[in-house]
Amino acid sequence: MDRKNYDNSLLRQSLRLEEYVNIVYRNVLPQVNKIPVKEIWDAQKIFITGCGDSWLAGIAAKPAFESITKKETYAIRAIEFSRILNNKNLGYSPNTPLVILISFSGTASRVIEGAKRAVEHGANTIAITANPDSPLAKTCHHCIDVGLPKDGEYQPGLITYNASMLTLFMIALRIGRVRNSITPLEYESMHKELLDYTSRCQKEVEGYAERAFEIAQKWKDLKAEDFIGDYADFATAYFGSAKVIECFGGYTTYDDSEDWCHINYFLLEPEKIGRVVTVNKTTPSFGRVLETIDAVKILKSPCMIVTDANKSEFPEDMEVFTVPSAKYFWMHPFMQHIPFDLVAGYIGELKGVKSFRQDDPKYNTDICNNRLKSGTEIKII
Amino acid sequence: MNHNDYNSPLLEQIRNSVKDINTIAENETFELFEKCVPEEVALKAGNIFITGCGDSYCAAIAAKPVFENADTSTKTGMVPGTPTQAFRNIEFSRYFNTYAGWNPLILGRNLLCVISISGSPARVNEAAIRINEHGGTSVAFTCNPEGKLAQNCKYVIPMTLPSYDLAPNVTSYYSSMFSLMMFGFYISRVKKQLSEQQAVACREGLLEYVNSYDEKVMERLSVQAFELAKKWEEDGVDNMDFVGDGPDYATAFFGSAKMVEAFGGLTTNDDSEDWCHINFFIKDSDHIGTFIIANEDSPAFSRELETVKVAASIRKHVAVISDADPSIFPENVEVFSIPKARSVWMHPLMEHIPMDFVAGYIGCWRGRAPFRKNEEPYCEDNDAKRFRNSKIEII
Amino acid sequence: MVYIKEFRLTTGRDSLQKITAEINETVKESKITNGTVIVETAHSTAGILKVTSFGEEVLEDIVKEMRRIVPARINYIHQDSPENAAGHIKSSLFGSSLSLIVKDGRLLCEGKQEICFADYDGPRERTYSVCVMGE
Repeated sequence: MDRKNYDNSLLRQSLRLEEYVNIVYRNVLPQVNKIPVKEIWDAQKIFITGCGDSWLAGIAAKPAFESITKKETYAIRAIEFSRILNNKNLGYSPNTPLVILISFSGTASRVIEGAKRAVEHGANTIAITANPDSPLAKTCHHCIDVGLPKDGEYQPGLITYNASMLTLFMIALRIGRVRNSITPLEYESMHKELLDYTSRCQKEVEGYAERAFEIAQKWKDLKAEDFIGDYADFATAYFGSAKVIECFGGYTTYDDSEDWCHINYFLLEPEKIGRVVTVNKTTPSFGRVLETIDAVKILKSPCMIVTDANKSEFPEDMEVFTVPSAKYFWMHPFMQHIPFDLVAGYIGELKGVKSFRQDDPKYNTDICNNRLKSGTEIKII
Repeated sequence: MNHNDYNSPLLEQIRNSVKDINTIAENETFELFEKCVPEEVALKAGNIFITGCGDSYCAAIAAKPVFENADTSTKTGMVPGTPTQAFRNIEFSRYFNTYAGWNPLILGRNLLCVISISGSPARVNEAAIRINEHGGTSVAFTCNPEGKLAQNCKYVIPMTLPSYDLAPNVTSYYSSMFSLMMFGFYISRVKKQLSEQQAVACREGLLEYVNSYDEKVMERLSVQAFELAKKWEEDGVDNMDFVGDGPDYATAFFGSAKMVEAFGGLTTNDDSEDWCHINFFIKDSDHIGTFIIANEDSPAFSRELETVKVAASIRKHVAVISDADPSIFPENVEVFSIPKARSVWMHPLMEHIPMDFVAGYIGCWRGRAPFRKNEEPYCEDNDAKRFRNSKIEII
Repeated sequence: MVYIKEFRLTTGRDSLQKITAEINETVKESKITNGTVIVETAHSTAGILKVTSFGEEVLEDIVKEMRRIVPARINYIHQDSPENAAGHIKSSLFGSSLSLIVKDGRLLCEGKQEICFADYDGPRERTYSVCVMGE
């Protein structure tokens, strides 16, 4: 089978990732640097919210915020932020919390609802969007336009995920710089590493694609994909699971390394379930993930591991994608989603399925098309 | 065949739920909590963390609003309580404050509730040791007061649990949740966020809600779940997703876990908003069963209702668990009508029952041993080394 | 005759780093016996200071007093960061270059005073230049 016949959007996006990261970086830097010092100083807590991939970008960037800003940071589901979170978390002190809301279109109702709620209760708000004229941008106190070229290919989301994460990293660095929780030397080095790490990983993408295509051929008829990851790697796990659904509508599930041992270990026909594990050698739960991988081995599930650790740490018969290490641990989620994204992209092509069910008219009705925007009521709690 | 012709330790647990919770409640009085956790400890708790593995984590999510709001008069509850977070066990043990650092000024005000019926999994013990080492207070919720967890915690709430043969656990879930909620009332009472009478009224309201699942309701839910399970089996449903928001997300998560434990079914869970962004696109929509929890007083109800309508437009098998008027949902949706509760946070204690029944019936038909006991290849780890003997690391 | 040399250094936070030895070395290398030396840094949040050589506590006092005079406030119009905004002001107030006299191949202030590189927004990688002019 010739891999070239199975070109797909996720592959095309991966191959241009460095180019887009550089565009976003250049666009975002001056905007981030305009966030007023006083407001940064005021923020006692930070909330990051968004829907789907945007929420996952928040989970992925949480360790960056924690280690750089030393501030309590919460990555929160959009509906939890807009409807469930207790009001007393908002506006109890000037410009507190700092709420970062992510929506590329700027039109997702739940995110606009969250922004309105935050503003009404006295929190400070920053929109991350590709649409500076959108309702979200207009609702928030500040808007960061990621500046992605209008004619780019962004579905299923990959570049947008990286653009969200990159912007979050840069906001964290701005906060760290202003609050002096990182030194100017660290600040400069971290900024540089963001681009260098992207560049190192970009060089590997062709190689990943080769292996991803081989795995896709083996996995295309599996019953499901099951993802495992802890903390920031949980975002990578969840993101992979979302790509399965978006690319080919497959069955999928996800969990952390501990709860997986309590629940998903018991899934039937484990030999027909592809397990995808993301783990880094410096992560605090590295030892636990290795134990979980031993349990996966018992079940004889096909298993793919994305890691910067040595291949010899893992069972021989597992597909280990060794990815470059980042100088700063919190950058890993930025690139580690790519190997499985490529697998998902290839499986979609091998199955001959269009992404986002474009080939099924029942997904193209008014109620379906409006489910995220005009079809959903905005309610301020 | 009739639904009552089927029996299993799981179905037995569900059918005895109301009776068992009342038995548990007889033992778990405010006096017990006073005896186990002195008032000065409760008074000092400025930040409450709750953790556990699997179902215990679900119980933590469900009980969180009780600690935060100590609801007395309003439907959603806005009486200020104590800031509370429910943690995945691995996140509390290995990641919480690992990067941001522990705030030295409030170490002594951190209180961790750790839930484990057996008290033996390594991770719960790791969490207890960790909070102790960082100057906080650990409280074990366990049925094994002599077990490892009890030994590793500063205080122990001994939970009572009726005994059943090996099965996916339902009893332990509501028992953990009930104990946690009682502990929440107790802390709020000690802090004078609730008066003595209000705390008693919260407990009574909760039991009143439990008892509203009387024989008739339980019979109705059982029959309905039986018919639904039969239809889903006949239609070849081979994947289920579960949707819930806030405390109801606990129910969604718990429901999905029961299907895995009872018959190894493939499941996933999400909230009502993100479902529209992700799971909406699952391709084989005729073979997915979707459960959505949508209670009328939930702040997210309007979104849940929209999600039900979207799901019903693309999927054949959609079930809703709700206390709202069933006529507001699309006709092709199976509505499990549940009793109304005095407060919205009470629902998670009982609203999982329809899903448990479905897990129980399908479990009987598929004939798989609970937790794949003695089945290859799972039995290679029959003694659960994967979580009992896991290495404890304190960070 | 003119002799110019550039130096690199890694600074610390609020650091006053002595660079007298490097300047003396440059004077020697230049073989100029009588003339002037200019020491300058092109960074906008750093400076070159001449301070007394009596003990480290003087340096500590200077750093503390500079912070009192120009504290890192959040309400400067320049919004890079409080340290950075204060750093620009300190650099302007306290100077970013020095002129020194060379007599008989040695700095006139040698033994009495130290030349220091001051970083008001460190730690960072910094540079400064030494220019010796004379005969």
